[in-house]
Amino acid sequence: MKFSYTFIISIITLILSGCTVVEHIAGVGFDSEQFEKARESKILELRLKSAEKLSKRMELNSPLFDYDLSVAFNEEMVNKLLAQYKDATGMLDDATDYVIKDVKAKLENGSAIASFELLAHNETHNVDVLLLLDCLILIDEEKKDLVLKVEPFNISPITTTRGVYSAAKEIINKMIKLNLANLNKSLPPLKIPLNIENKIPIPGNKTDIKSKINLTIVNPERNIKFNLKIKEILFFKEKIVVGLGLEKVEVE
Amino acid sequence: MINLITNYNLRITVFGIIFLLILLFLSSCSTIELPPVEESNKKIIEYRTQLQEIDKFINSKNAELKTEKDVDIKVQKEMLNRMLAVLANNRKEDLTILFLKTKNLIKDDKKVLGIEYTNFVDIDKGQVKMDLKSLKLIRLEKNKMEAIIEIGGNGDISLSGKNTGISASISSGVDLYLKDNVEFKIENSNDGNIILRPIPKKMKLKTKFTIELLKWNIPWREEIELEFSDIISPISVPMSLATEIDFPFPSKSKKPGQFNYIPCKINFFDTKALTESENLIWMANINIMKIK
Repeated sequence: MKFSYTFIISIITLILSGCTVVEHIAGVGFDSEQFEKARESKILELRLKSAEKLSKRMELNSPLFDYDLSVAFNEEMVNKLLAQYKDATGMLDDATDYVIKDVKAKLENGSAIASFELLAHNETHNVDVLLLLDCLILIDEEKKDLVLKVEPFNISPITTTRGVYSAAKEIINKMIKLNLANLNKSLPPLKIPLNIENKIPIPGNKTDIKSKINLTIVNPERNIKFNLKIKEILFFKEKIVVGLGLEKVEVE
Repeated sequence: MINLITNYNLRITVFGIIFLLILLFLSSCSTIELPPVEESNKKIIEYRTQLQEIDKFINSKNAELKTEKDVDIKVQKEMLNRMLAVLANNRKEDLTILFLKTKNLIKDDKKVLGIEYTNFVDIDKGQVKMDLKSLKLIRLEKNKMEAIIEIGGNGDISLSGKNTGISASISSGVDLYLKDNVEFKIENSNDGNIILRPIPKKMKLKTKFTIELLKWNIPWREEIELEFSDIISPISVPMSLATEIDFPFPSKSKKPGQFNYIPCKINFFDTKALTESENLIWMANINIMKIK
Protein backbone atom coordinates (compact mmCIF):
# COMPACT_ATOMS: atom_id res chain seq x y z
CA MET A 1 0.00 0.00 0.00
CA LYS A 2 2.88 2.32 0.95
CA PHE A 3 4.48 1.51 -2.37
CA SER A 4 1.25 2.47 -4.21
CA TYR A 5 1.13 5.90 -2.58
CA THR A 6 4.85 6.56 -3.20
CA PHE A 7 4.32 5.51 -6.82
CA ILE A 8 1.31 7.81 -7.26
CA ILE A 9 3.11 10.75 -5.63
CA SER A 10 6.10 10.16 -7.93
CA ILE A 11 3.81 10.19 -10.96
CA ILE A 12 2.17 13.41 -9.79
CA THR A 13 5.59 15.01 -9.22
CA LEU A 14 6.64 13.90 -12.69
CA ILE A 15 3.52 15.34 -14.29
CA LEU A 16 3.82 18.54 -12.35
CA SER A 17 7.47 19.04 -13.23
CA GLY A 18 6.60 18.26 -16.85
CA CYS A 19 4.16 21.16 -16.76
CA THR A 20 6.80 23.33 -15.10
CA VAL A 21 4.15 24.24 -12.60
CA VAL A 22 6.58 24.44 -9.75
CA GLU A 23 9.25 26.10 -11.81
CA HIS A 24 10.00 29.58 -10.60
CA ILE A 25 10.37 31.87 -13.52
CA ALA A 26 11.71 35.27 -14.19
CA GLY A 27 11.21 36.45 -17.69
CA VAL A 28 10.84 32.98 -19.12
CA GLY A 29 8.14 30.38 -19.32
CA PHE A 30 5.92 31.49 -22.20
CA ASP A 31 6.57 31.78 -25.87
CA SER A 32 7.25 35.48 -26.08
CA GLU A 33 7.77 35.30 -29.85
CA GLN A 34 4.31 33.84 -30.32
CA PHE A 35 2.76 36.65 -28.31
CA GLU A 36 4.89 39.27 -30.05
CA LYS A 37 3.98 38.09 -33.54
CA ALA A 38 0.30 37.69 -32.70
CA ARG A 39 0.31 41.23 -31.31
CA GLU A 40 2.08 42.68 -34.33
CA SER A 41 -0.33 40.94 -36.66
CA LYS A 42 -3.34 42.19 -34.70
CA ILE A 43 -2.08 45.78 -34.68
CA LEU A 44 -1.30 45.69 -38.40
CA GLU A 45 -4.75 44.27 -39.16
CA LEU A 46 -6.37 47.06 -37.21
CA ARG A 47 -4.16 49.69 -38.82
CA LEU A 48 -4.96 48.33 -42.26
CA LYS A 49 -8.72 48.46 -41.69
CA SER A 50 -8.52 52.04 -40.41
CA ALA A 51 -6.19 53.15 -43.20
CA GLU A 52 -8.58 51.68 -45.77
CA LYS A 53 -11.42 53.75 -44.31
CA LEU A 54 -9.30 56.93 -44.39
CA SER A 55 -8.21 56.19 -47.91
CA LYS A 56 -11.87 55.92 -49.00
CA ARG A 57 -12.59 59.25 -47.28
CA MET A 58 -9.71 60.84 -49.17
CA GLU A 59 -11.02 59.56 -52.46
CA LEU A 60 -14.26 61.47 -51.90
CA ASN A 61 -14.81 64.72 -53.71
CA SER A 62 -15.26 66.79 -50.57
CA PRO A 63 -12.06 68.74 -50.22
CA LEU A 64 -9.70 67.81 -47.46
CA PHE A 65 -8.76 70.22 -44.73
CA ASP A 66 -11.25 72.79 -46.05
CA TYR A 67 -12.55 73.62 -42.62
CA ASP A 68 -13.36 77.05 -41.28
CA LEU A 69 -10.99 76.29 -38.46
CA SER A 70 -8.82 73.27 -37.93
CA VAL A 71 -6.80 72.13 -34.97
CA ALA A 72 -3.95 69.72 -35.54
CA PHE A 73 -2.28 67.88 -32.68
CA ASN A 74 0.98 66.10 -33.23
CA GLU A 75 2.06 62.76 -31.81
CA GLU A 76 4.17 64.44 -29.16
CA MET A 77 1.17 66.32 -27.81
CA VAL A 78 -0.82 63.08 -27.47
CA ASN A 79 2.14 61.49 -25.73
CA LYS A 80 2.43 64.46 -23.38
CA LEU A 81 -1.21 63.94 -22.40
CA LEU A 82 -0.82 60.20 -21.94
CA ALA A 83 2.44 60.60 -20.02
CA GLN A 84 0.36 61.95 -17.15
CA TYR A 85 -0.76 58.36 -16.59
CA LYS A 86 2.74 57.11 -15.91
CA ASP A 87 2.84 55.55 -12.44
CA ALA A 88 -0.97 55.66 -12.18
CA THR A 89 -2.43 52.65 -10.41
CA GLY A 90 -5.69 50.78 -10.71
CA MET A 91 -7.36 47.38 -10.48
CA LEU A 92 -7.71 44.92 -13.34
CA ASP A 93 -9.95 42.73 -11.23
CA ASP A 94 -10.63 42.19 -7.54
CA ALA A 95 -7.31 40.46 -6.96
CA THR A 96 -5.10 42.15 -9.53
CA ASP A 97 -3.83 45.65 -9.24
CA TYR A 98 -1.57 47.40 -11.72
CA VAL A 99 0.76 50.29 -12.10
CA ILE A 100 1.32 51.96 -15.46
CA LYS A 101 5.07 51.84 -16.03
CA ASP A 102 5.08 53.46 -19.42
CA VAL A 103 2.73 54.59 -22.17
CA LYS A 104 3.41 55.47 -25.78
CA ALA A 105 1.02 56.51 -28.49
CA LYS A 106 1.64 56.12 -32.17
CA LEU A 107 -0.42 58.04 -34.68
CA GLU A 108 -0.84 56.32 -38.01
CA ASN A 109 -2.93 56.94 -41.09
CA GLY A 110 -6.48 56.25 -39.96
CA SER A 111 -5.73 55.16 -36.42
CA ALA A 112 -3.95 55.92 -33.21
CA ILE A 113 -2.69 53.22 -30.93
CA ALA A 114 -1.58 53.67 -27.36
CA SER A 115 0.46 50.94 -25.74
CA PHE A 116 0.41 50.84 -21.97
CA GLU A 117 3.10 48.92 -20.15
CA LEU A 118 1.37 47.64 -17.04
CA LEU A 119 3.00 45.91 -14.14
CA ALA A 120 0.17 43.79 -12.85
CA HIS A 121 0.32 42.17 -9.43
CA ASN A 122 -1.99 39.35 -8.49
CA GLU A 123 -2.42 39.22 -4.76
CA THR A 124 -3.90 35.73 -4.65
CA HIS A 125 -0.97 34.13 -6.44
CA ASN A 126 1.64 36.74 -5.51
CA VAL A 127 2.62 37.10 -9.15
CA ASP A 128 3.98 40.13 -10.98
CA VAL A 129 3.49 40.24 -14.75
CA LEU A 130 4.63 42.98 -17.05
CA LEU A 131 1.89 43.36 -19.64
CA LEU A 132 1.59 45.35 -22.80
CA LEU A 133 -1.92 46.65 -23.21
CA ASP A 134 -2.65 47.96 -26.69
CA CYS A 135 -5.50 50.39 -27.02
CA LEU A 136 -7.11 52.17 -29.87
CA ILE A 137 -7.32 55.91 -29.23
CA LEU A 138 -10.75 57.20 -30.10
CA ILE A 139 -11.74 60.84 -30.14
CA ASP A 140 -15.39 61.77 -29.75
CA GLU A 141 -17.18 65.04 -29.44
CA GLU A 142 -19.14 65.71 -26.31
CA LYS A 143 -20.73 69.14 -26.26
CA LYS A 144 -17.73 71.40 -26.76
CA ASP A 145 -15.18 68.92 -25.53
CA LEU A 146 -13.01 66.48 -27.32
CA VAL A 147 -13.20 63.21 -25.46
CA LEU A 148 -10.17 61.05 -25.79
CA LYS A 149 -10.99 57.42 -25.08
CA VAL A 150 -8.81 54.37 -25.13
CA GLU A 151 -10.31 51.08 -26.24
CA PRO A 152 -8.16 48.07 -25.27
CA PHE A 153 -7.90 45.47 -28.00
CA ASN A 154 -4.90 43.40 -27.09
CA ILE A 155 -2.95 42.30 -24.04
CA SER A 156 0.37 40.55 -24.26
CA PRO A 157 2.69 39.53 -21.48
CA ILE A 158 6.21 40.84 -21.81
CA THR A 159 7.78 39.14 -18.85
CA THR A 160 6.95 37.65 -15.49
CA THR A 161 9.06 39.26 -12.87
CA ARG A 162 8.01 37.32 -9.82
CA GLY A 163 5.90 34.30 -9.04
CA VAL A 164 5.19 30.78 -9.99
CA TYR A 165 4.74 29.89 -13.61
CA SER A 166 1.38 28.21 -13.19
CA ALA A 167 0.07 31.22 -11.37
CA ALA A 168 1.59 33.54 -13.96
CA LYS A 169 -0.05 31.61 -16.72
CA GLU A 170 -3.33 31.67 -14.90
CA ILE A 171 -3.21 35.40 -14.38
CA ILE A 172 -2.16 35.99 -18.00
CA ASN A 173 -4.93 33.69 -19.18
CA LYS A 174 -7.39 35.46 -17.02
CA MET A 175 -6.35 38.86 -18.24
CA ILE A 176 -6.37 37.88 -21.86
CA LYS A 177 -9.70 36.14 -21.58
CA LEU A 178 -11.05 39.05 -19.62
CA ASN A 179 -13.67 40.90 -21.53
CA LEU A 180 -11.71 43.82 -22.92
CA ALA A 181 -14.82 45.93 -22.82
CA ASN A 182 -14.84 45.54 -19.07
CA LEU A 183 -11.20 46.46 -18.91
CA ASN A 184 -12.19 49.66 -20.65
CA LYS A 185 -13.87 50.70 -17.42
CA SER A 186 -10.44 50.89 -15.82
CA LEU A 187 -9.26 53.32 -18.47
CA PRO A 188 -11.13 56.55 -18.10
CA PRO A 189 -12.01 58.87 -20.97
CA LEU A 190 -10.04 62.11 -20.98
CA LYS A 191 -12.00 65.22 -21.79
CA ILE A 192 -10.07 67.92 -23.58
CA PRO A 193 -12.20 71.04 -23.62
CA LEU A 194 -11.97 72.44 -27.11
CA ASN A 195 -13.20 75.76 -25.94
CA ILE A 196 -11.28 77.96 -28.24
CA GLU A 197 -12.60 81.18 -26.76
CA ASN A 198 -15.80 81.71 -28.73
CA LYS A 199 -15.68 85.44 -28.38
CA ILE A 200 -13.57 88.07 -30.07
CA PRO A 201 -13.72 91.33 -28.19
CA ILE A 202 -13.53 94.40 -30.38
CA PRO A 203 -12.28 97.05 -28.00
CA GLY A 204 -13.95 100.40 -27.98
CA ASN A 205 -12.18 103.75 -27.87
CA LYS A 206 -12.68 107.46 -28.08
CA THR A 207 -10.52 109.63 -30.30
CA ASP A 208 -10.34 113.39 -30.40
CA ILE A 209 -9.38 114.88 -33.73
CA LYS A 210 -8.10 118.41 -33.94
CA SER A 211 -8.18 119.57 -37.51
CA LYS A 212 -10.14 121.98 -39.60
CA ILE A 213 -13.20 120.47 -37.97
CA ASN A 214 -12.85 119.28 -34.40
CA LEU A 215 -14.33 115.86 -33.90
CA THR A 216 -14.64 113.13 -31.35
CA ILE A 217 -15.04 109.65 -32.69
CA VAL A 218 -16.65 107.16 -30.34
CA ASN A 219 -16.13 103.55 -31.25
CA PRO A 220 -18.14 101.36 -28.85
CA GLU A 221 -16.89 98.05 -27.54
CA ARG A 222 -18.42 95.01 -29.18
CA ASN A 223 -18.04 91.28 -29.01
CA ILE A 224 -18.24 88.89 -31.89
CA LYS A 225 -19.63 85.67 -30.47
CA PHE A 226 -19.52 82.49 -32.45
CA ASN A 227 -20.04 78.76 -32.24
CA LEU A 228 -17.84 76.15 -33.78
CA LYS A 229 -18.93 72.60 -34.47
CA ILE A 230 -16.68 69.64 -34.99
CA LYS A 231 -17.07 68.40 -38.56
CA GLU A 232 -14.46 65.70 -38.78
CA ILE A 233 -11.65 64.10 -36.83
CA LEU A 234 -8.98 62.47 -38.92
CA PHE A 235 -5.93 60.51 -37.89
CA PHE A 236 -2.81 60.77 -39.96
CA LYS A 237 0.72 59.64 -39.51
CA GLU A 238 2.05 61.59 -36.53
CA LYS A 239 -0.94 63.96 -36.36
CA ILE A 240 -4.63 64.27 -35.57
CA VAL A 241 -6.70 66.85 -37.40
CA VAL A 242 -9.94 68.17 -35.94
CA GLY A 243 -11.94 70.11 -38.51
CA LEU A 244 -14.47 72.64 -37.25
CA GLY A 245 -17.16 74.65 -38.97
CA LEU A 246 -18.51 78.06 -38.01
CA GLU A 247 -22.10 77.54 -36.91
CA LYS A 248 -23.42 80.79 -35.56
CA VAL A 249 -22.11 84.33 -35.34
CA GLU A 250 -23.63 87.19 -33.46
CA VAL A 251 -22.50 90.58 -32.28
CA GLU A 252 -23.30 91.99 -28.88
CA MET B 1 -15.52 -7.56 6.55
CA ILE B 2 -16.37 -3.99 7.60
CA ASN B 3 -12.63 -3.18 7.65
CA LEU B 4 -12.24 -4.53 4.14
CA ILE B 5 -15.11 -2.41 2.86
CA THR B 6 -13.81 0.67 4.65
CA ASN B 7 -10.29 0.17 3.23
CA TYR B 8 -11.72 -0.32 -0.23
CA ASN B 9 -13.81 2.86 0.00
CA LEU B 10 -10.85 4.78 1.37
CA ARG B 11 -8.67 3.67 -1.52
CA ILE B 12 -11.31 4.66 -4.03
CA THR B 13 -11.67 8.06 -2.36
CA VAL B 14 -7.89 8.65 -2.27
CA PHE B 15 -7.48 7.62 -5.92
CA GLY B 16 -10.46 9.84 -6.83
CA ILE B 17 -8.91 12.83 -5.08
CA ILE B 18 -5.53 12.17 -6.70
CA PHE B 19 -7.17 11.81 -10.13
CA LEU B 20 -9.05 15.06 -9.65
CA LEU B 21 -5.85 16.80 -8.54
CA ILE B 22 -4.03 15.58 -11.65
CA LEU B 23 -6.88 16.82 -13.82
CA LEU B 24 -6.80 20.14 -12.04
CA PHE B 25 -3.07 20.58 -12.53
CA LEU B 26 -3.26 19.48 -16.12
CA SER B 27 -6.00 21.96 -16.80
CA SER B 28 -3.92 24.72 -15.25
CA CYS B 29 -1.22 23.85 -17.76
CA SER B 30 -3.49 24.58 -20.71
CA THR B 31 -1.99 27.07 -23.11
CA ILE B 32 -3.39 30.45 -24.20
CA GLU B 33 -4.88 30.17 -27.63
CA LEU B 34 -2.60 32.06 -29.95
CA PRO B 35 -1.95 31.58 -33.64
CA PRO B 36 1.33 29.87 -34.44
CA VAL B 37 4.27 32.16 -35.20
CA GLU B 38 4.26 31.11 -38.86
CA GLU B 39 0.61 32.07 -39.29
CA SER B 40 1.20 35.45 -37.64
CA ASN B 41 4.28 36.04 -39.78
CA LYS B 42 2.30 35.34 -42.93
CA LYS B 43 -0.38 37.83 -41.91
CA ILE B 44 2.23 40.44 -40.94
CA ILE B 45 3.78 40.31 -44.42
CA GLU B 46 0.35 40.47 -46.06
CA TYR B 47 -0.89 43.43 -43.96
CA ARG B 48 2.40 45.32 -44.29
CA THR B 49 2.36 45.08 -48.07
CA GLN B 50 -1.21 46.39 -48.27
CA LEU B 51 -0.51 49.12 -45.73
CA GLN B 52 2.50 50.38 -47.66
CA GLU B 53 0.33 51.02 -50.70
CA ILE B 54 -2.45 52.74 -48.77
CA ASP B 55 -0.04 54.83 -46.68
CA LYS B 56 1.67 55.98 -49.86
CA PHE B 57 -1.65 57.20 -51.26
CA ILE B 58 -2.71 58.94 -48.03
CA ASN B 59 0.67 60.58 -47.47
CA SER B 60 0.67 61.95 -51.01
CA LYS B 61 -2.73 63.56 -50.39
CA ASN B 62 -1.87 65.22 -47.11
CA ALA B 63 1.65 66.38 -47.89
CA GLU B 64 0.52 69.98 -47.41
CA LEU B 65 -0.58 69.30 -43.88
CA LYS B 66 2.33 70.22 -41.67
CA THR B 67 2.41 70.24 -37.92
CA GLU B 68 5.38 72.25 -36.78
CA LYS B 69 4.46 72.28 -33.10
CA ASP B 70 2.30 70.35 -30.64
CA VAL B 71 -0.82 72.31 -31.59
CA ASP B 72 -1.49 74.07 -34.87
CA ILE B 73 -4.66 76.09 -35.39
CA LYS B 74 -5.59 77.27 -38.86
CA VAL B 75 -8.31 79.84 -39.49
CA GLN B 76 -9.57 80.40 -43.01
CA LYS B 77 -9.93 83.92 -44.38
CA GLU B 78 -13.52 83.09 -45.40
CA MET B 79 -14.45 82.31 -41.82
CA LEU B 80 -13.11 85.67 -40.67
CA ASN B 81 -15.00 87.39 -43.47
CA ARG B 82 -18.24 85.72 -42.42
CA MET B 83 -17.71 87.10 -38.93
CA LEU B 84 -16.88 90.57 -40.23
CA ALA B 85 -19.98 90.52 -42.44
CA VAL B 86 -22.12 89.87 -39.36
CA LEU B 87 -20.31 92.66 -37.54
CA ALA B 88 -21.02 95.04 -40.43
CA ASN B 89 -24.67 94.04 -40.86
CA ASN B 90 -25.48 93.84 -37.21
CA ARG B 91 -26.67 97.39 -36.80
CA LYS B 92 -26.77 100.77 -38.51
CA GLU B 93 -25.07 102.75 -35.81
CA ASP B 94 -21.55 101.48 -35.35
CA LEU B 95 -19.58 104.65 -34.76
CA THR B 96 -20.59 108.01 -33.38
CA ILE B 97 -18.89 111.12 -34.67
CA LEU B 98 -19.37 114.15 -32.51
CA PHE B 99 -18.73 117.60 -33.99
CA LEU B 100 -17.09 119.83 -31.41
CA LYS B 101 -16.99 123.59 -31.24
CA THR B 102 -14.95 124.68 -34.22
CA LYS B 103 -14.37 128.37 -34.71
CA ASN B 104 -14.22 130.03 -38.09
CA LEU B 105 -15.03 127.04 -40.21
CA ILE B 106 -15.67 129.60 -42.84
CA LYS B 107 -14.21 133.05 -42.58
CA ASP B 108 -14.58 135.81 -45.12
CA ASP B 109 -13.11 139.24 -44.49
CA LYS B 110 -15.01 141.97 -46.30
CA LYS B 111 -14.57 145.67 -46.80
CA VAL B 112 -17.54 147.65 -47.97
CA LEU B 113 -17.39 151.41 -48.19
CA GLY B 114 -14.29 151.45 -46.02
CA ILE B 115 -15.99 149.40 -43.35
CA GLU B 116 -14.29 146.14 -42.55
CA TYR B 117 -16.25 143.20 -41.31
CA THR B 118 -15.94 139.43 -41.23
CA ASN B 119 -18.49 136.90 -42.26
CA PHE B 120 -17.91 133.64 -40.42
CA VAL B 121 -19.49 130.34 -39.59
CA ASP B 122 -18.67 128.31 -36.47
CA ILE B 123 -19.67 124.75 -35.76
CA ASP B 124 -21.34 124.62 -32.37
CA LYS B 125 -22.07 120.95 -32.14
CA GLY B 126 -23.26 118.01 -34.14
CA GLN B 127 -23.58 114.27 -34.22
CA VAL B 128 -23.47 111.63 -36.92
CA LYS B 129 -24.15 107.96 -36.38
CA MET B 130 -21.97 106.03 -38.76
CA ASP B 131 -22.83 102.66 -40.20
CA LEU B 132 -20.08 100.17 -40.85
CA LYS B 133 -21.29 99.24 -44.30
CA SER B 134 -18.65 96.66 -44.97
CA LEU B 135 -15.39 95.30 -43.67
CA LYS B 136 -13.83 92.61 -45.81
CA LEU B 137 -10.48 90.91 -45.75
CA ILE B 138 -8.97 90.85 -49.19
CA ARG B 139 -5.49 89.59 -48.45
CA LEU B 140 -3.76 87.56 -45.78
CA GLU B 141 -0.06 87.43 -46.45
CA LYS B 142 3.33 88.39 -45.08
CA ASN B 143 1.88 88.44 -41.56
CA LYS B 144 -0.50 91.18 -42.53
CA MET B 145 -4.23 91.36 -43.10
CA GLU B 146 -5.48 93.76 -45.69
CA ALA B 147 -9.12 94.81 -45.58
CA ILE B 148 -11.46 97.25 -47.23
CA ILE B 149 -13.48 99.31 -44.82
CA GLU B 150 -16.55 101.31 -45.81
CA ILE B 151 -18.43 103.53 -43.38
CA GLY B 152 -21.03 106.17 -43.94
CA GLY B 153 -23.77 108.06 -42.19
CA ASN B 154 -25.66 111.26 -41.81
CA GLY B 155 -26.70 113.50 -38.97
CA ASP B 156 -27.16 117.10 -37.96
CA ILE B 157 -24.84 119.91 -37.01
CA SER B 158 -25.59 123.21 -35.37
CA LEU B 159 -23.86 126.23 -36.82
CA SER B 160 -23.71 129.86 -35.90
CA GLY B 161 -22.08 132.85 -37.45
CA LYS B 162 -22.40 136.33 -38.75
CA ASN B 163 -23.23 137.62 -42.18
CA THR B 164 -22.80 141.27 -42.84
CA GLY B 165 -22.67 141.86 -39.14
CA ILE B 166 -25.87 140.02 -38.37
CA SER B 167 -25.63 136.95 -36.09
CA ALA B 168 -27.59 133.84 -36.80
CA SER B 169 -27.76 130.18 -35.88
CA ILE B 170 -28.87 127.33 -38.06
CA SER B 171 -28.81 123.61 -38.18
CA SER B 172 -27.89 121.57 -41.19
CA GLY B 173 -27.79 117.99 -42.32
CA VAL B 174 -24.35 116.47 -42.75
CA ASP B 175 -23.15 113.44 -44.70
CA LEU B 176 -19.98 111.53 -43.90
CA TYR B 177 -18.40 108.75 -45.91
CA LEU B 178 -15.17 106.78 -45.89
CA LYS B 179 -13.93 103.88 -47.97
CA ASP B 180 -10.34 102.84 -47.83
CA ASN B 181 -7.92 99.95 -47.68
CA VAL B 182 -6.52 99.31 -44.24
CA GLU B 183 -4.03 96.84 -42.85
CA PHE B 184 -3.51 94.97 -39.62
CA LYS B 185 -0.20 93.56 -38.56
CA ILE B 186 -0.46 90.04 -37.17
CA GLU B 187 1.45 89.75 -33.93
CA ASN B 188 1.88 86.94 -31.50
CA SER B 189 1.25 87.44 -27.82
CA ASN B 190 2.51 85.02 -25.24
CA ASP B 191 -0.89 84.59 -23.62
CA GLY B 192 -2.41 82.54 -26.43
CA ASN B 193 -3.79 85.41 -28.46
CA ILE B 194 -3.14 86.77 -31.90
CA ILE B 195 -2.98 90.55 -31.89
CA LEU B 196 -4.34 92.33 -34.94
CA ARG B 197 -2.59 95.66 -34.71
CA PRO B 198 -3.83 98.42 -37.02
CA ILE B 199 -1.04 99.73 -39.21
CA PRO B 200 -1.02 103.56 -39.16
CA LYS B 201 -2.64 105.05 -42.21
CA LYS B 202 -4.18 108.43 -42.99
CA MET B 203 -7.72 108.03 -44.23
CA LYS B 204 -9.99 110.66 -45.70
CA LEU B 205 -13.41 111.15 -44.17
CA LYS B 206 -15.51 112.93 -46.75
CA THR B 207 -17.73 115.52 -45.12
CA LYS B 208 -20.55 117.26 -46.94
CA PHE B 209 -23.09 119.78 -45.71
CA THR B 210 -24.77 122.95 -46.91
CA ILE B 211 -24.78 126.17 -44.94
CA GLU B 212 -27.57 128.62 -45.46
CA LEU B 213 -26.89 131.53 -43.15
CA LEU B 214 -28.89 134.65 -43.85
CA LYS B 215 -29.02 133.95 -47.54
CA TRP B 216 -25.38 133.07 -47.46
CA ASN B 217 -25.42 129.79 -49.31
CA ILE B 218 -22.27 127.76 -48.96
CA PRO B 219 -22.04 124.14 -50.06
CA TRP B 220 -19.33 122.69 -47.87
CA ARG B 221 -17.14 119.73 -48.68
CA GLU B 222 -14.20 118.78 -46.62
CA GLU B 223 -11.95 115.77 -46.37
CA ILE B 224 -11.07 115.26 -42.77
CA GLU B 225 -7.91 113.30 -42.16
CA LEU B 226 -8.31 110.40 -39.77
CA GLU B 227 -5.60 108.15 -38.45
CA PHE B 228 -6.78 104.54 -38.73
CA SER B 229 -4.63 103.33 -35.84
CA ASP B 230 -6.18 105.99 -33.60
CA ILE B 231 -9.73 104.98 -34.34
CA ILE B 232 -9.30 101.22 -34.12
CA SER B 233 -7.55 99.71 -31.12
CA PRO B 234 -5.54 96.49 -31.45
CA ILE B 235 -7.81 93.42 -31.45
CA SER B 236 -6.89 90.30 -29.47
CA VAL B 237 -8.09 87.14 -31.10
CA PRO B 238 -8.00 84.29 -28.58
CA MET B 239 -6.52 81.16 -30.09
CA SER B 240 -5.42 78.89 -27.31
CA LEU B 241 -7.37 75.86 -26.22
CA ALA B 242 -8.31 75.04 -22.67
CA THR B 243 -5.62 75.80 -20.19
CA GLU B 244 -6.91 73.38 -17.58
CA ILE B 245 -7.91 69.75 -17.98
CA ASP B 246 -9.22 67.42 -15.30
CA PHE B 247 -7.33 64.20 -15.78
CA PRO B 248 -9.33 61.16 -14.62
CA PHE B 249 -7.07 58.71 -12.84
CA PRO B 250 -8.05 55.15 -11.97
CA SER B 251 -7.33 54.19 -8.42
CA LYS B 252 -6.89 51.04 -6.38
CA SER B 253 -9.41 52.36 -3.91
CA LYS B 254 -12.06 53.17 -6.51
CA LYS B 255 -14.62 50.88 -8.08
CA PRO B 256 -14.42 50.28 -11.86
CA GLY B 257 -15.73 53.33 -13.63
CA GLN B 258 -14.86 55.63 -10.72
CA PHE B 259 -11.84 57.86 -10.92
CA ASN B 260 -9.92 60.52 -9.11
CA TYR B 261 -9.98 63.74 -11.09
CA ILE B 262 -6.76 65.69 -10.89
CA PRO B 263 -6.69 69.14 -12.49
CA CYS B 264 -3.71 69.80 -14.69
CA LYS B 265 -2.55 73.07 -16.11
CA ILE B 266 -1.70 73.26 -19.79
CA ASN B 267 0.96 75.82 -20.54
CA PHE B 268 1.41 77.02 -24.08
CA PHE B 269 4.89 78.13 -25.03
CA ASP B 270 6.91 78.79 -28.21
CA THR B 271 3.76 80.33 -29.64
CA LYS B 272 3.84 81.66 -33.16
CA ALA B 273 1.31 83.53 -35.29
CA LEU B 274 1.61 83.88 -39.03
CA THR B 275 -0.22 83.90 -42.33
CA GLU B 276 0.04 81.07 -44.80
CA SER B 277 -1.88 80.54 -48.04
CA GLU B 278 -4.54 83.10 -47.07
CA ASN B 279 -5.00 81.46 -43.67
CA LEU B 280 -4.28 82.70 -40.20
CA ILE B 281 -2.09 80.24 -38.33
CA TRP B 282 -1.35 79.95 -34.64
CA MET B 283 0.89 77.27 -33.21
CA ALA B 284 2.34 76.36 -29.85
CA ASN B 285 4.10 73.70 -27.88
CA ILE B 286 2.60 72.60 -24.60
CA ASN B 287 3.60 71.26 -21.26
CA ILE B 288 1.31 69.84 -18.65
CA MET B 289 1.61 70.31 -14.92
CA LYS B 290 -0.51 68.87 -12.17
CA ILE B 291 -2.13 71.58 -10.06
CA LYS B 292 -1.38 70.80 -6.45
